[in-house]
Amino acid sequence: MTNAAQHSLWKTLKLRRKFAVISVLATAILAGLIAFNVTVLRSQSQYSLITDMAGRQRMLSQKFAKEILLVGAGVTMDAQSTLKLLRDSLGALMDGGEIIANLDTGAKVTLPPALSVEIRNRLAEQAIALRQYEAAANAYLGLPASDPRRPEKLKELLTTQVQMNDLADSAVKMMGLYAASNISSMILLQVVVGVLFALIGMLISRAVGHQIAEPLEACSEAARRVAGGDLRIEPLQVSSSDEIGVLQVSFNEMLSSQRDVAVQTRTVCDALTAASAAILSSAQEQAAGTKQQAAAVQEITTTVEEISLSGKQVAERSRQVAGTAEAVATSGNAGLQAVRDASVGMEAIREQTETVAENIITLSERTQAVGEIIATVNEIAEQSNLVALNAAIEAADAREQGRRFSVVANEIKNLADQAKEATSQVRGILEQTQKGINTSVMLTEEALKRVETGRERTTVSEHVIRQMSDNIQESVHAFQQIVGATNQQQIGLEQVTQALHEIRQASQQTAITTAQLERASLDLNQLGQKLASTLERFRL
Amino acid sequence: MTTSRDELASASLRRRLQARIEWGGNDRDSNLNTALLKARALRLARPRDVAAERESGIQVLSFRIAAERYALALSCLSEVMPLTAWTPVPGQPQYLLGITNLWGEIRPVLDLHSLFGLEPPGASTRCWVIFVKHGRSEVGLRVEGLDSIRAIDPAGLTDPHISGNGLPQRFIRGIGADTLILLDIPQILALDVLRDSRADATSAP
Repeated sequence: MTNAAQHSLWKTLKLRRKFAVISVLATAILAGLIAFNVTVLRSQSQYSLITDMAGRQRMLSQKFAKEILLVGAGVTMDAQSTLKLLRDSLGALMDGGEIIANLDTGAKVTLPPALSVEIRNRLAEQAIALRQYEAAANAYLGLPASDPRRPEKLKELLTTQVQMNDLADSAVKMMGLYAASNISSMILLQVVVGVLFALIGMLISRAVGHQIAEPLEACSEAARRVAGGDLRIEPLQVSSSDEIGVLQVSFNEMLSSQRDVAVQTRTVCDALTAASAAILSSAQEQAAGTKQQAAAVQEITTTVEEISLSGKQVAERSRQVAGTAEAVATSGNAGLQAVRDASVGMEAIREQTETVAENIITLSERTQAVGEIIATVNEIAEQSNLVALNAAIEAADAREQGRRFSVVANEIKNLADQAKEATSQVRGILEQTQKGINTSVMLTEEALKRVETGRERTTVSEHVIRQMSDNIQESVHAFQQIVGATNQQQIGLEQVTQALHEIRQASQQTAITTAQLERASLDLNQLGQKLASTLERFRL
Repeated sequence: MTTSRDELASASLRRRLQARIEWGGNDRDSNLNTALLKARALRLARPRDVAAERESGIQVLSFRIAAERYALALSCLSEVMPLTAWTPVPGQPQYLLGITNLWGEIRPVLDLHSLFGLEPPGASTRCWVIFVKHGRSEVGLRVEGLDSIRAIDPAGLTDPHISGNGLPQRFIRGIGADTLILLDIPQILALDVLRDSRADATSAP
């Protein structure tokens, strides 16, 4: 594994892992130190055990000496068990092995072999001394109580015992010295190892701290510049892929997004300023419009009140007209009856007129007959006149004889002339009569026609009057409806007036609101300008 | 308006009718009768000197031709009668109206309108014929109306030759004070057509 590969591996590690690795390393070092300490303490306790055991050897040797003495004095004692223990302990101290540590409980401990050759040699001397003591004891005990050699022997025994004690003391002292020197070397070793590890830890933490702090400081500097409004700074160098790297990437993203946001904000701010200006002008226009609206509502209210007044008049007039129309309808019914009567009268007149016409025609025929008779009479008169003329001519022809006859003829002619005159007069009268009759006939025909026309007109009048009556009835209904509708209209107009009052109040409220809106839009405009000036700080 | 007027007219009519009924049938033409009777009484009460005057002059028959009044002396007339039918004669002058049959006798009839240059009468106008003695025969003159027989003083006649009023003077004997024209019979009878017929007539018997 190369150094670069280690470096890249280290770089790919997360910060948490890094710290975990460092802490694991520190824990391992600490555990090593603790294990070392434990080992040292263990060996220390072994040394103390060995020292105890060595010390016990002295106590055991004294006990053995006392028991020997007691046995010598005649007291039955088990000196042999103490001797055995003494021997075993000495053997264990020399070559290692188990040994009874506590005499009461019988607990055993394992002892290592002798720590050094010197100690073993001393212990070996001690074993030799023990054997000598044993021999001395056996020699003492073999003598009877009354033997005079006995105090000598006892003296020898005690000397041996003192010798053995000294040996034991020296062994103990040697062991203590050994242990003390061993402990001091251990302490030195521990100090050295601790200082070494502390140095290594400092180096590692410095390196790691440097690795963490440097990009953070760069980031902090960039953040300070961003806070100062400088968005034109270069994006940060991504140094690793750990949280710091993530922070740098995030910072770069934040920077670009901040830049975008600033750009957009500036654009939006411009738009906002324009919009707020538009709102302000709209609000002012609305204020003006609201004033006009209020004036218009006032005019409308006045007009509606006038309409209401005229509507009342219309209602009153309609009521009057309805009453009049009812009266007219009654009159129309009476007129209808009168027209029916007139129709009946017309029929009677027609019948009578027809009778008159028949009579007149009869009269005319008779007059014609009279005229014919008169014509005959006239003809006779003419003939008479002619006869008279001829007679006169004859009389003139007869001269004197015819003179008298001439007179007669003259008289006849006179009579004929008179008759003719009378007939001409009668004819004139007859002609006048005939003319009168003709006129009468024509007048009668005219009268018949007129009666017919009158009857037709009466029928038409009846029809018209009936229609008129119906129409008037309809008119009465219509006027009643008009009255009803006008009343409803009146109610509606009152509601309209009420609504207009409300509208006026609302428009006044709107005027107030519009003034507030105007102020608010003015504030908004100022805020937009302030925001724009604030955004000027951003250097993009 | 019309109804009130009609009512007024009918009221007056009714009033007049009532008056007729009250007067009765006999008194109906009393006014006329009174007038007629009055006229007759006046005529009867005419003074006699008229007849005496008539005797002093010559008696004439007055008649009308085309609204002009003419007269002929009564002495030279033979008869008057209505002109009912005549037959035109072909090849003769216009003033010869035609011939007519009177009681089996064929007589010529002269048209005085044509002769005098006057407007001819209408077809339906009733005419008379005056027969004038012409020797043994008689000649008819068509006239439009017969008036009366009256007497004229020949001394009071005006001579048309003297007055010179433009009339066809050949056939006029004189004009009376009341513009009555007295015709000259011999001059009329001296017409050529009559002379021819007269020559035949005179030679025949």
